[in-house]
Formats: sequence, structure tokens, C-alpha cells
Amino acid sequence: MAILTYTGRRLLMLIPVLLGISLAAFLLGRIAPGDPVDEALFRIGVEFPTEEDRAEMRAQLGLDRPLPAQYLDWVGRALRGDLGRSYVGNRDIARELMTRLPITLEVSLAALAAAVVFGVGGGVLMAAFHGTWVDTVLKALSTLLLSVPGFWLALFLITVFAEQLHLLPTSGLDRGLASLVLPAVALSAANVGSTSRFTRGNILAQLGEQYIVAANAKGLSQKAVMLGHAFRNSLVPIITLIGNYFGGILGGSTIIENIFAIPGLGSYVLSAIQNRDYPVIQGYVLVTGATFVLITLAIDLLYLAVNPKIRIQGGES
Amino acid sequence: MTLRNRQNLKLAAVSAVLLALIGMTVLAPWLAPCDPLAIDMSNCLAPPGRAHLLGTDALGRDVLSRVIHGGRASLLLAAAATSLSMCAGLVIGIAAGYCGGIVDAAITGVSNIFQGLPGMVVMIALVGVLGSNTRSIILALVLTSWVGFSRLVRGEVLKIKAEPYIEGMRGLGAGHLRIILRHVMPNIRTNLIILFTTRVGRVILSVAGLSYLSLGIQPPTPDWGEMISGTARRYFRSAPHLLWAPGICIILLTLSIHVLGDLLRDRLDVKQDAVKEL
Amino acid sequence: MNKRLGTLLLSAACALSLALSGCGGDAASTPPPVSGTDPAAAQTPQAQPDQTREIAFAASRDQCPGEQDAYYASMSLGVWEPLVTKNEDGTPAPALAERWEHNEDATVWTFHLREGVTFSNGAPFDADIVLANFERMKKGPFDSSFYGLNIDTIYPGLLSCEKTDDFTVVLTLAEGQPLLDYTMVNYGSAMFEPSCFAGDGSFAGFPIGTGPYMVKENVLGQYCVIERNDAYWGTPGIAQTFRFKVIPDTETRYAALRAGEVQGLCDLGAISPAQAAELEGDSAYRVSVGDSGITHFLNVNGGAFPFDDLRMREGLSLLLDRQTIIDRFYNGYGLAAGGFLSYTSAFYAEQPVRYDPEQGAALIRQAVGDQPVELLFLLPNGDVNRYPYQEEAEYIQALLENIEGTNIKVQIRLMDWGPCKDEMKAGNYNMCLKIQGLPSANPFSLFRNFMHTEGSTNLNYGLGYHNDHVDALIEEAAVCLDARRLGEIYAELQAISAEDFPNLPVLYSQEVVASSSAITGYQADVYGLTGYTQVCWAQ
Repeated sequence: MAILTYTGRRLLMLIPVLLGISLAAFLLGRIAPGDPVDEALFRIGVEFPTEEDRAEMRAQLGLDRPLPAQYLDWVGRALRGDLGRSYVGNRDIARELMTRLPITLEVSLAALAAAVVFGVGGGVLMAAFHGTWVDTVLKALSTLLLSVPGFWLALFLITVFAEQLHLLPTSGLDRGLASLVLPAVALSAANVGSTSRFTRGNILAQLGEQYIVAANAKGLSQKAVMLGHAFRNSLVPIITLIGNYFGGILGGSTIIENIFAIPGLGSYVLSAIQNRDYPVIQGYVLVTGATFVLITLAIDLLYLAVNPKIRIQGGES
Repeated sequence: MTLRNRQNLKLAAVSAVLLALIGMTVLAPWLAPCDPLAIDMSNCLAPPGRAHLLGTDALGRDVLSRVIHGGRASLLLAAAATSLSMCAGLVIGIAAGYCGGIVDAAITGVSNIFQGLPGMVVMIALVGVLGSNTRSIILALVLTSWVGFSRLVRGEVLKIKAEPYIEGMRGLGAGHLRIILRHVMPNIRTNLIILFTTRVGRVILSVAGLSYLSLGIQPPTPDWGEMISGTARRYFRSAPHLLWAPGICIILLTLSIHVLGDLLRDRLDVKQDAVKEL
Repeated sequence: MNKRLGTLLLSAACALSLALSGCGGDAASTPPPVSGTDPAAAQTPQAQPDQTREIAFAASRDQCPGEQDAYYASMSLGVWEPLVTKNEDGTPAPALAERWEHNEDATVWTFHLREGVTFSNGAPFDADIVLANFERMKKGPFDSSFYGLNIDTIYPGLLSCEKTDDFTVVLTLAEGQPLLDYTMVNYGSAMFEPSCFAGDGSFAGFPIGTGPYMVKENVLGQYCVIERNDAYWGTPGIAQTFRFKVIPDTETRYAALRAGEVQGLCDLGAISPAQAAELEGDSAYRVSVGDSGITHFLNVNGGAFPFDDLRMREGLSLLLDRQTIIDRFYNGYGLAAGGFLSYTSAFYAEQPVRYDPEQGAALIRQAVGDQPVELLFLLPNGDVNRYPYQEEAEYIQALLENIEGTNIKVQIRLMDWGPCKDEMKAGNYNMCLKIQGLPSANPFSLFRNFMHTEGSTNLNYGLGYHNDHVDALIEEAAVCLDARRLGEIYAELQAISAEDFPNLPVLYSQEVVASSSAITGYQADVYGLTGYTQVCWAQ
């Protein structure tokens, strides 16, 4: 029962948050100084716009009405799945975003998988070889991963694995899974660093707990203790942590997508920002924001399902 | 005891590296052999040699001098932006935690919204739209990172508020300001310091990321982030000497900041999960 | 004080040495307009390589921007062809129109179409097709990532478009347009099979053209594939399929070439000068340099101090060592620009390129004296990524800040083009580097936009340029019916541009592309009818 109330409350709380995100998205597209009207006119070949041309285009773009009216109108249409058309190329934004969202999700999931495999794996290894040179080296490596700029790593990966070793493609998505490896690694590097450190810390903390001592007393080998108890118990916070990364990966893919020529949301919004394509920026922030909020909620609920003993309190997870 | 000693040693080493880097940037005008802005078109892209220990860049400027000067902009920016976010987070977090009720609900709502916004994109959009000057970079950084601080502060304040002795203080007629300053602040200090160091590291890398999009520190100001990710990255094959030194500096800087944060965490015995990764 | 003197001496020494090296290297460092091997000679191998294997190219943008683009595909792909194309000297040349003539006052133009041409779907090309294309153009204007398609700009005052027989089309205009054939060159007169148009004039599916290649596959933002049109009316292509990948990042694009994933890099800014320099010494790759209609301008705010003063504009122009900029930053690819109009235009009149730093400094000293002057130098991001603009700007900054007896400070700011343009329009800037292409073979609109007091670019870029004589010349050109007189006006405008400086031409760009030696026949020939027909696998 408590779980149901909790879920219901979380869902209700989603509404103001989503509205807030939509407002922020809307404003982000509007704070720009200057006027997209002239540019829109120029793109269709009107080099000498008269005031009439401008007024007409302004009306056509819906920019002639007061801001609150524009917002309400925009939200209303967004609810119906219509995010308008881009200034550049006159394309249906909702459709464009929906064709790109899966690509970004795919890359993000691959990055998440990399964070899990290398992060958790590395963390377990570090904990298993706690205090030995393996621990030291891996710990240093994980800290290093946190400190390397992402695009540098990307450039390095491309040079080594694509250009020199010809193992993986430099860019694009046309080679299936192989295409995902480098972007995923570049995107998850910092998260691999923090996940492995976090996992290590958690397992070590668990190892210090009483019942592990008890398990030891039962005569199990130390490895089994580790895998059987400590790891399982520390898995839940690790899952939450990795879930939290998802937002960062989703938003952080902007530069990485550009480097690896991945036609996802990030590269789309980047060119939109450069061209001042307001409706696209708005649509992007709305869609990513909503995706992120929904995924966070899903993870929280999942967390709850995995570990019902957790105290449900406030809106805090 | 030996663990403690080893930690002390590490702490000393990391502090030494950090201090050296900071010292280098502070004393840059006296340390640099050349003017970092003086161009020499007859000596472009010279490899490292005796006249120029780290060679020269595309405009014939001395790379060593630029590296020595290069930490100033990003360090200042990172420190300023993170301090501002911390202050904002502190005030907002204390307000939320201490006042509770509607104020808390409103602030929590707003921070939920900010957390739902993709940080890097908001940053790029803001800086791209408002123009890439220090002011808008700082604004963008503060807007995207105050939530982390305010959440931390709010959580801690809530915990402390629940302590019975605070009730007692209130009963004895202690003012709100006094309670906040004397009892709340000291309790959240360590966590704040750790979060601060983590953030500074992140911010330095984010600003370097902005430089990749030509939105970071503006030329010709020498800056490590700009030197590795700005237009100089075009020379990473033909003249790699342009990139190595600033790259090592920036990695060393963020690395030592991270290690310092770790050591502080161990040292001050803060529970891992108290400072959630941002 | 000491440091200042030092830098001054240093830059003086630098300038001197460059001037000296410039004298000797001038002839050698100016590449011929078109270089590279003759494609015809390279395509007679003993054992034919398999030309059905796909050849891949990479570019920074979509070569097929798709259904919403006015042309669907870049002209260089050879999917569609225009009525009129141009010669190497920039004059109109026949394509789908074999010849044309006009009446005395240039209001009636008659085009004789090429016979025996078929579209890739087998439909014949004739006068009805041309009429249908004009009908479609009237539904515009259409947006394009190449050149926007607006019938009112290309065919101003078009009254009617009629056929007199199956292969003759007559255009009637309200006012004489003696250079209409120049405006129609390439993108101005693209012809498609009408069945590929949607109701609103955009494309319904792939475009159908008369060219040597057809679009076979197109995934926006990723790649497009074109395939040889075996029924092509002219000399068909050799290679069967090409794939054009979109790789926005210059480094990644270059890595893709080196990794062998693509065989060539194409389109604007295909390869950076530093990368091209690296490939030049490598026999596994070929760098080709060709003509480009693009001119790099240093736009200045002539509406505000100090660039409202001609001495300041002229002084800066004299101060610029254009050849050094080209040699140091562009790897020698480019030509020092003296006048406003690109050297590839048919109306190009060469203007002297003057470099005299002492006189330049003296002029600037006269203009600004020793008062503190702060100059804002804007750089549009898109171009910074394509060209070494940042280096160039920092060089110009150093030149200006080191003029003895003045106190000039230059602040460089990188901006996205949108905000940058707003700042320029509002006059909140002093200098801005920007490229300008040749939108049409008729330079009239360029002259009008940049140099007329009411010109759109003059206003939008905040150039603040005003010259009564120039206004009179442009107004005369607008109604001039005599092509020879127009040529004279254009030449005079160029001469004025080299002395009165509406903006400062820095260099005429050259197109630099690269390919691996696995293929042959690829040249930096931006928009030509041959397209990729000569590109094929080498031995």
C-alpha cells in the first residue's frame, strides 16, 4: 500500500517538474537577443526583406504574439506531439527528435553498459585485490579516467583503434555494434572512474560489516564471501549511482556525438544552437528533460522493488 | 598508524603538486621566459629547442610561456564559478531545509526541474546565446551546478534540525542566524569542501569542453583548455608539442584535485554516500 | 616600455624577414588555378580494376540534404543538371540548353534545348519539362543548404515562360536582364523530372534528374549513396556507386581517410591546411587544389570610429601581409586579394595588392593618434572550425596592438554566426572575418548588397559604407541593358573597392580536397558538370 501511495505521489510530482522543464525549455529558446525572422527570410532567398516581409514571416513563425500566449500555445501543441517545424530545413521537429532519440539512447545505453562492465568489474577487482599492486594501479587508472577531457580521449581512441590498428570504425553508425564501442567508451570514461571507485568503497565497507565476519566463521572461502554477500549488498546503491549517470550521459553526448559523427540528439541540438534554431532547442530540452525525469523515476521505483525494506520518506529517494 | 602516515605522505605529495601548479600560475609573469602573447611569424610551429624549450605555436609564440600562464583563466573561472554555486547552494539549501514547508517544497520543485535539464546543453546554449565571455560562462556554470550544493546542504540541515539539542537551543531563545552559523555550518563544512573540490575538477573539464566548441576562454588569452581543445587540436599530428604540455597540466590539475578530494574524504571520515557523485 | 619595444623590434624583424622571403617565394607559392593529373590520362589502365566496388567520401555536411531542400542534392553529385552551366573563366556555358539568345533590350530570352536527353527514369527532357520546373519554382521560395531558390531573385520580373516548340522555351521579363544567363548558371536553372515533386514544390522521394548519377539511398545526417545512370546522355561515369558520409569533425574526417574508411574528403573545408600539408609528403594520398569562388573578407564597422575613417581602413589593409597569412596559416593555398570580386568571376578585374606596413602604421597613427582605442574583433564559430581564422585574428590583433605611437587594444570574441550577425547589424563590433561565396555568376547582387548604401549586407553586417558615386554606379547597373557597359561598371566598382575599402579583402580562397591513391580522377572542382564521373578506383 505504501508503495502504491509513494508511486502515486511521485507521479503527481512529475507534473510540476515537467511543466517547469517545459517552461525552461521555452525560455531557453527565447532569451537569445536578436531576431530569427531575418535569418528565416534569408534562407528562403529574400535578401531585401521589407517590413511587410518581416511582419509576415513573424506571424508565420508565431513570433508576433505575447510571450505567455506563445508558451501556452507551444505547450498545448507539444502535448499533442507537435513541436513545430525547424527554421533550418523546415522539418518536423517531433519526428526528427524521435528518429534521433533511439540513436542517442542506444549510444547512452552502450556507454552505461561500459560503465557497468568496466566500472563494477574494476571495482570488484580492486576490492578483491585490496591493498595489492592491482588495487593501486586500477585505482590510479580510475582517477586518471576522471581527469581526462572527454574529447581528448575520443581523439586518442580514434587515432589508436581506428587509424592505427584498423580495429574499429572512426565514426558513423553503419558498422553495428563495432560503431558503438569507441563512442561508448569515450562517453563513459569519467563514469567508469567514479563507478569503480564507488563499487570498491562499497564492497570494502560491506566487508567490514558484522555478518560478513559471521559468514567467515562458517568457513566459506574469502572469495565466496565477497561475491556472495558483500557484492550483492552493495549492488543496490551502485545501480542507483549508475542510474544517476544516465542523465549526464544523455546530456554529455553533445560533443562526443559530434566527434564520432553520430546523428543523435546531441549533434542535432549543437547545430541548432549554432543556427539559432529556437524550436529545435526547445524541443530537444523538453524531450531530454522528460526522458531523464522518467528514467530517474523508473530507477527509483525499480530500486524500491528490489529493496522494499527501504524507508519511504518525503519526496527524497 | 602506518595507514595514517601513508595518507599524510600522499596528502603532502598531492598538495605539493597542486601548490606547484597554482604557484606557477600565480607567479607566471615572473616565471615565463617570454611574453605569452608576442608573436613571431618567422618562427611558426618550431619544434622544442634551446630558444624555445617547448617550441612555438602557429603564430610563433613561446609554448612554455603560454603553458605557464595557461592555468590562470581556467583556475580563476573554476574557483569563481564553484564558489558562487556553493554560496547559492548554501543559501538556497539552508532556506529550504531550515524553513521547511512551502519554501522547501518550492525549492525542491525548482531543483528537480534544474536536475532534469541536460547540464552540458544548457551550458552550451546559454554561452552560445549570450556570447562567450567570462560572465556568461560563470552564469551557465552556476545555473547548472547550484543544485548539487543545495541538495547536500538541505539534507544536512534537515538532519541537524531533527537533533533534539537544536530544539533546546530554540527554547533557550537562540536566534535562527545564530543556530545556522554556530551549529549548522560547522556540521556541513567537510561535505561542502569535498563537493567543492570535486566540482572544481569537473568545471575545469567542462570549460575545456566549451573550448572544443570555441565557446570557452577567448583568444589570445593563454589557457590550457583552449590550448588542447581549441583550434590547436588541428596540429595534434603535425605539431604535437603544442598539446602535450597543456594536456599534462590540465590532467595533473584535475587529477590532484580528485585525489585531494579522496584523501579529504578518507581523512575526515565522511561516509561515501554522503557525497553523491554529481 | 621595454617589453613593448622588444615586441616591436621582434615584429619588425619578423615583417622584414617575411618580406624578404616573400620576394623569392612569390612565384613558387602561388599554385596554378587547377592542378593535379589529367583525369582522362589516368583512366586507361591495363587490367581494369573492379569499378563496381563502392567508393566512399566524407564531408562535413549532407551532400543530399533531402526532400525539403530546394535541390535535394548538391550539384557536384551529378544527379541533376542545369540549363546553363559555366566555363572555367566563369562565363555561361551550355548544359541542357544548347544555345540561347535574347532581344535587344534583353526582355525576351529564347533557349534552345538539347535534344535526345532522357531522365534517369527514362522520361525524355523537353520544353514541357522546363515549363513544369518553372511552375514548381513559382511555388517557392525554397530553402537550401547550398543556395536558396527564389524565382524573384533569379528571374526578376518574369512575366511568362512559354514553349514555341518541343525544344524551345521563351522567357519574357518585365525589365531587361542582360546578364540573365549568368544568374541562371548551375543552381539557378536546375532541371528535375516533374513527377518527383510533391504538391508544395518540395520533393516526394528521391530526385530524378538527367545527370550521370542517381540517388539510391539517403539517410539524413549519416550518408547518401549514388549510383551510375547507365542511360546517361553524355559521357557516363566510371565508378558504379559512391557513398557520401557526413563527418562534421575535421579530425575525425581526416582519421577516416587515414584509416581507409573513406577514399576522399570533399566539400567546403574538406581538409585543414595543416592536414593537407601533412598529406602532401605522403604518396598514399593526393591533395588537389582548385579554384573556389570564396573570398575571405575582413569586414569592418565603417559606421563607427575608427573604421569610419578611410585612413584606418587603408592603413589596416597596408599593414596586412596577405602572402604571409596565406603561407603561414593556409599552407600557401589561396591568392592575396586586392579587390572585392573573386578571381573566379568572369568580371574579375585584378587589383593591386599593396603591402606597406610603415605607411599603414602612419595612416593609422594619423587616424587614431595616441588615444586609447578598444576594438572588438568577432569571429564566427562555423568559419573558425573550417579556416585558421583564430590564428589570423590573433595575427591581426598583434599587428594593430604593436603600432608605435598608438594605444590600440583588440579583443577577439568567438561567436556563433547568429549572435555574431546581430552584433554586426547593431554596429557593436569593429572587425569580423567572414567568407563570401559567389551566389551567382552575375556579381550584381554582390556589389549591390555590399557596396550600395541600402545594400542588405552593408546594413546587416553594419559595414556603414556610403559612397555616392558607388550608389550611382549600382543604380545605373540595375537598369543597364548593355552587357559591355555592365562590365565597365563592375570593373570600376572593383577599382573603387581596392581604394575605398567597403571592407577589406584578405584572400581569394582555393578549394583543397584530398583523396587516397586508391582512387584516381578526383579533383577540387567544386561545381562542374563532370562531377564524380572521372573518379574511379586506381590500379
